[in-house]
Amino acid sequence: MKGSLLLFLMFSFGVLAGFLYPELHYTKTDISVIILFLLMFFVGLNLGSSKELIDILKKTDFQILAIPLITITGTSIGMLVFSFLQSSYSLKELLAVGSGFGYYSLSSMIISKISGEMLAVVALLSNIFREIISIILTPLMVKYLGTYSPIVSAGATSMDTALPVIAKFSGPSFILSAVFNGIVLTLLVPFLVVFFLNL
Amino acid sequence: MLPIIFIFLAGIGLGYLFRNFSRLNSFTGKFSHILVFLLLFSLGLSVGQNEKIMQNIAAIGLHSLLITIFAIAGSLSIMLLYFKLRKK
Repeated sequence: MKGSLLLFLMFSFGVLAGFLYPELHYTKTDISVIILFLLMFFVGLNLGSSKELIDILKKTDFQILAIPLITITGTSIGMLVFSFLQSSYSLKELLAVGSGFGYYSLSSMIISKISGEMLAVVALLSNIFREIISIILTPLMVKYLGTYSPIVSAGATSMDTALPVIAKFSGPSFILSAVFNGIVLTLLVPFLVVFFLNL
Repeated sequence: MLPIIFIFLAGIGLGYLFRNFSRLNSFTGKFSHILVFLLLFSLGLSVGQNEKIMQNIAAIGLHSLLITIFAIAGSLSIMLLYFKLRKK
């Protein structure tokens, strides 16, 4: 939560700087594309070398696999419903934003390179909201909707920022499922975002 | 944007090969954190310079919140449906 706040502050500083100095020109396309590529590489390195990855993939059974599938299907259906209720965003844009699953930094960066800043801001805010709302509502969700609910709600963040609160309210036995859900979704974010935007 | 995917996969492959170097692991974590900082700042910069976004920031914020609500509600509904079907 503290980390997210810091990152949001960083973004806000950028907005302020850009707003105050509209003439400030920097070669944003070249530099930030290179930084994005570096980031993708390092996120991959991190995932590939994580000790949990292999352990958890070995323990895969149907129940544990069902949770990320539910998260992906449910998010997409939510986006489909929302696409009928408004006309500002197309279905493929909504699906791309939804496919961040709370992983706001990566999804908004990829979207900003493919679709531009407008949709990137939506992706950034929407996925930050997903993380924060999931964390805050975890006690209520567990009480009324069951122990798996904060995991599908938190999406990719169920393995890091939302994990402590899930472990506390769903119980320690749900840590494995939460981490698995988070790893699978984190892996899929780049693929799904690029896929939906290219539809 | 295929390069993004390939670079990502290359990272995973290399990470897996060098998974036993714990020093590398803590370095990549810190380094990607710094990169995220830089990227978010640069996104902020271009957003601040984009008049269309700045003039509509309240509406954009509201849209984003609605998207989140539908994404979470969709996930929770399918989850409830799944557990209901499985019980039978």
